[in-house]
Formats: sequence, structure tokens, C-alpha cells
Amino acid sequence: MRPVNRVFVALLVAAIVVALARDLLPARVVERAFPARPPPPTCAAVVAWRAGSLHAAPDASAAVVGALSAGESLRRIGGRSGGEGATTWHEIQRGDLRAFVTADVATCPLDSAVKALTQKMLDAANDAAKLALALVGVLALWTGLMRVAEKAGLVALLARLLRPLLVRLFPEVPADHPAMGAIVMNMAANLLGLGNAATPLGLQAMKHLQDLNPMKKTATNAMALFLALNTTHLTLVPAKTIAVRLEYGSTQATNIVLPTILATACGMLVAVVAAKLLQRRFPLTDPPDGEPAPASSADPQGGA
Amino acid sequence: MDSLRGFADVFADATIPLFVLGIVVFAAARGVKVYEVFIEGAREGFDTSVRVIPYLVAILVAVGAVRSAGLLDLLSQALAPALALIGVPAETLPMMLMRPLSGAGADGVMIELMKTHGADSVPATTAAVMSGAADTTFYILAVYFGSVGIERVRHALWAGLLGDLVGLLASAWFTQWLVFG
Repeated sequence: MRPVNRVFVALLVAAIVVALARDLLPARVVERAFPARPPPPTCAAVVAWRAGSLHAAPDASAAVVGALSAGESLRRIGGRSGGEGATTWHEIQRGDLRAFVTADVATCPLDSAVKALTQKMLDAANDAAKLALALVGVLALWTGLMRVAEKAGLVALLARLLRPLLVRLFPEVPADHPAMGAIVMNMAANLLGLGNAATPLGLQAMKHLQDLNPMKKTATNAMALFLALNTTHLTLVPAKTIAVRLEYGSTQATNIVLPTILATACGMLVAVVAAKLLQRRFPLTDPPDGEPAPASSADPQGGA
Repeated sequence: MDSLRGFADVFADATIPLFVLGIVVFAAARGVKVYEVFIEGAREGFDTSVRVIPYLVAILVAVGAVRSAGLLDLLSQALAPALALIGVPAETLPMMLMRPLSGAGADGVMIELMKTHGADSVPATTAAVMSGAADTTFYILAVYFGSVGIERVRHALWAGLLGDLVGLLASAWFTQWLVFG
């Protein structure tokens, strides 16, 4: 979708231009815009580690010890990503410093902003692939379970529970119209976090709502409300997020469930109220015939 | 407050096992071939994780570049007092900006926060809640309305974005209260 394209280009251009500017402009100018923050105490260790000489760097060792006594937790090089096992005094005393890397390498000063940028971009690309592959197992487990739930008729069951509520929210849609059926199923799939099932059902609902639409180019109140419900939909178990948290060493990965449900409920409530209140302020008329139609085709680039 | 948090912890700990138990028992009782159907669904999960790689590369590189250049720090620092005033960690600002635009982008920001601050830190946990509390409003709008040729979306975008904003802010508050309270 277009906004994503614009954001992507803008971010890259801005980052590269700023990094170049920080290296090329006189130091006085740069320091005014980006006041130098004192590097974290662990930076000496990182710099030494980069140079491959951690064992031979007494100040690096001192920096690690200092950071630890200041309560900073260090992460290990290699092994599992994430915060598994903070560094222990025991390991420090053994002098096994090569096993450490500091919390955020990016905040440690490199020779130049452009070098740091290069390193960061390559690291990020690497991380992206590693992360996606690390997710394969848990994600497969989840989609497998959800497919079982779907086949068992859980979506249909949930839909039966939701119907009385949704009939009230969409007074313009007759209760026995296929549009209502599709809306109910879409909401049920959303509730279960079945994104792949929810989208086709949602598109089907839009098609049926369009049958009820006398105008064809302008969204009806029901369509707008349906959209608002879809963009703020409640998810009972944010499984993907839990999987990512586990991968990054969270010890309480599921403690986000309750806050997520409550926060979504707030957002959903506001979206429904806003849709109901705002619908009077927007005219229910088609654009004039002569008006050139802006391209409104869906671009699959935006989602996933 | 304490008993509420105790309930939240137990609820959170037991959610996944209970959910799995419920699904498997329910499906078996209904005569679903659980194993075959599971494999079929799991294959879809595999495809998804591989399909998301290009998006993740794009977003992680862009966000990483912006962070490395110091732009994100600059913006976060400028807005930190205002965000602190309403109880939102300043580090989650990129998450709030990215969430309505791109799901993979929001994942990228969330992962970045976990790597930088640790998975159980306040910013990373808040971002994780945020990722479930809002959706890719612009994408859904384009796909849903585009599929039937609607050009005038009227108040749909505003209602959706307002819901997202409230959901994101509420994420910060509920996380603070229920997880770190």
C-alpha cells in the first residue's frame, strides 16, 4: 500500500542522509544537533570484542565488571538470542569474557556514523531472516492447532454467540441476510486470531454489504462500522507475540494476554462509538459521475 | 490490587495449556481427524514464517538504519516528556507510529525493542501488548474497500484510527498496571 512505501523510502533516505551528515559536517554543528551522550560503561568491552582481543583487554574486563555492579545485565555472544542467563560473577572471575556482549551494540560509538549504519543494516537483515526461521516451529504449532479448532466448528460456535450482539450493532443489515452471516463469521475468526480465515470472510461480508448499498462508490454506515470493528478487533490469545517473546528470552511470555484483551476492548468500544457518532457528519452520497475515480485497488505489499 | 495481579498471573500462566486442551478435546469429541488437520494447518504456519522474511528484512533494516543514525532517539527524546505525562514509555513511540501501517513493520519494531531492552522490559512488554491491541488499519481499509470499489470511505478511517489510538494508549496503561503495577 502507498503509505507503507512512502514511509519505507523516507526512513531509509532520512537515516542515510543523517548518517552521512554526521560524518561530513563539522563536529561543532553535529554536536549541537546530536548532543553526545556518554557511552554505556560496557562499550569498552564491545569495542575490544570487535577487535577480537577481549582476553587481552584489561579495561574491557573492568568495564564488564563495572556494568554488572551497576546492575546492567549483559547478553552472551552466540547461543540463544535474547536475555537467557545474565552474566555471572563466576564467569567473570574465570576470565571467560569472550562469552559476553553488551545490551545494545548500536549505542557504542564506532569510528563513524556511516560505519555504524552499515553494520546495523547488515545485522538487521541477518536478524530478520534468523527471526523468521526461529518462528517456524511455534507458528506451525499454532496454525496447526487453530486449523483443528476451525475444523471442529469452533468458529461457527463462536459465531452463534456473537450473532445477537452484532444484529444490534448493524441495524441496517437484515438479521437473515448473508451479509450478517459473513460479518458474524469474520468477527468469530478475528476473535480466535485466525487472520488467514478472517480476511476472506471479511471480503465476503463486504461483497454482501455492497449488495445492500444503493450507492456503490460510497461506504455505508454498516461498512464503516464493520471496518472499524475489523481494525480494532479483539484477539483472545496473541499467539504470535507470545512466540516472539519466548524466542527473545521472556520468562513471563503470557502475561501480556490480559492487558491485551482489556486494551483491545477499550479500542473496540471507542471505534464503535466513534463510528456511530461520526456517521451523521459524513454525507451518504456518491461522488459526482464526472469525477475521475482515484485508483482504489488493493496492493498486497502493505500487509502480512 | 494484589489479588487482581495474582489472578492475572495465574490466568496468564494457564492460558495456553487450557486453550490447547480445550481445542484438542473439543475437536476429538466432534470426530475431527486431529493429527491430519493439524499437519495441514502447521504447513500453513511454515509458509507464513517464510513468506514474512522479505517484509521483516525491509522493516528491520529501515528501522535499524533510522535508529543507528540517531533519528529515533532524537524524536523519542523530544516527545518523551509529553508521553511520560500520559504514562506511555517513550521507547514505544515507533511502535505506535508503525502499528496502523504494517503488521510486519510493527513486529520489527517490537523485536528491536526486545533486543535492545530485553523481552521482559517495560518498553518491550508494552510494545507486545500494543501489537495485539491494534491492527493494520490502512491495509485493511485498502483491501476491504478496494475489493468492492468503494471510493468514499467516509468516517471509516477516523473511527478505525481513533480505536487504534485508544487501544495503543490503553495498552501502555494496562501493562503498567497489571504487569508492572
